[in-house]
Amino acid sequence: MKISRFAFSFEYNDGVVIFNTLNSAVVYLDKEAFDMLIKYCSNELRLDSAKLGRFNDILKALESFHILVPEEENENRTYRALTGEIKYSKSSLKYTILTTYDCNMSCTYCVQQEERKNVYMSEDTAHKVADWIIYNAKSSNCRLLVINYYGGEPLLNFNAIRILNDKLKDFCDEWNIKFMVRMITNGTLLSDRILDYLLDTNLHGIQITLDGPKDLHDKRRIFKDGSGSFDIVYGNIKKVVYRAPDVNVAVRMNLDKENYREIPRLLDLLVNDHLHDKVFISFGRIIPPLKCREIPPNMFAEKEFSKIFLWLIKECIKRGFPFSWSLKPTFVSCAAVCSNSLIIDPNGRFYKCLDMIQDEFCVGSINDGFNYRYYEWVSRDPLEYDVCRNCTLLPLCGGGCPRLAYYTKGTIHSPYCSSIKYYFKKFLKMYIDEKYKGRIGESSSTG
Amino acid sequence: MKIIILEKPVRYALLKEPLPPPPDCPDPDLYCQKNIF
Repeated sequence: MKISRFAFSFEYNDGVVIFNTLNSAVVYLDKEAFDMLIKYCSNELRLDSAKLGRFNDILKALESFHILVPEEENENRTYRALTGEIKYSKSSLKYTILTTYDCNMSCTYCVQQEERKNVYMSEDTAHKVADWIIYNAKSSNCRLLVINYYGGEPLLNFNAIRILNDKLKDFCDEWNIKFMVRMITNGTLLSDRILDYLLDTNLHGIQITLDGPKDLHDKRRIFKDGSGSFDIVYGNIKKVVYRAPDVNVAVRMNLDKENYREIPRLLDLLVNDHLHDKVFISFGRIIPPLKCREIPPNMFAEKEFSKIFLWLIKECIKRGFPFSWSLKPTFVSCAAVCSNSLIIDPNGRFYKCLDMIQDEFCVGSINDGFNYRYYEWVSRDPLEYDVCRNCTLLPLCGGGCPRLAYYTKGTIHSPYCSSIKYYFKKFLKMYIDEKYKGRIGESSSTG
Repeated sequence: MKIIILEKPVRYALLKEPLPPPPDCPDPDLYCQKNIF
């Protein structure tokens, strides 16, 4: 047997924690057990019978958790097969639909500013998009259909949302397919009427951005006349939380060097208003637009951001935000490389990445089907890259963000080492500290 | 000599709550189905 290439280990409380990045098993071995494991793997272990029995139990556990694997196993092939199941599965279909490129706001850092056009999805296109999705759902035999609205500001074209939702919900009800609607919105247009409609048509999740407490948010997320949006957005977050407790509300915080220090004040506000256990927090790094070749001074580089990210997580834990995530691999870099996920713009054109919605990245359309670029995306394979082939963290990042790979190397067919590389060890330690307080270091062993 | 099992391996068919999404993506749910907190 050999130690898995996906075993990520580090010293912890006089012993060693081993995390298998392929299946998220985590074990703690005391120093004696770990030293014996190393000797066992190099065929140097000599044991008396008293210890042999106990050590065999440990080996058995490590083997069942795939931390120890057979010598002949090619684990990259295992990874490729598991990844393939996720990449090519169509049991669920996810479509992100841009109902318009237009927006009622003019956020200071928005990368869509220059590309923003007064383009709205027409009724005719909305019907065609719905028909195209229905055709695909029927032919793939899917059991779950997720529609995610995005823009511009998607609620500016509520008419298109209504056409799509009505048609798709009716279809899913008839075909016994689970239908879920999500939305990324600036949160300024969520009237009671719109919210009622969305709740009637299976609204499952909503992501709304707050960039800090009111004073800071109102300098960054502004309406076209320059006025701030905090009061309206915050009021609407509360409205969704209290009127629709089953809807997942994600509060997105887009971070750069100008606002990150003030995020704890926003966290305090969420705690004071008893929202901290009712919303998910999502920290986002603002990244430069594709044409910008250097990271502007107000934005974080990957390594810098990993420190801020960990600091903010600690600030959340300190304030009692529920620590609910678990350590499971994603295998793929993101949905962009999966065949069950597609972005459809107001003209019915297809894209794979929300940050790459330009003509040169168009992968097809409802009229023409897919072009070769679609297959470029879904065939992205990190095992083609030297740096990924031997990286323990591969199942956690899947080769990294294709958009940032393109940004740095000119092609999505290249690796991009994301911030996880820099923060993962500390992140895992923090997770174990938090979840297993006092458990590691007990005298009795646990199984 | 001691082993403590902290997390059992996931069953791949039930992958529901993967790692937190990379902070670069405008839609974390495109990366996974759940946010951190």
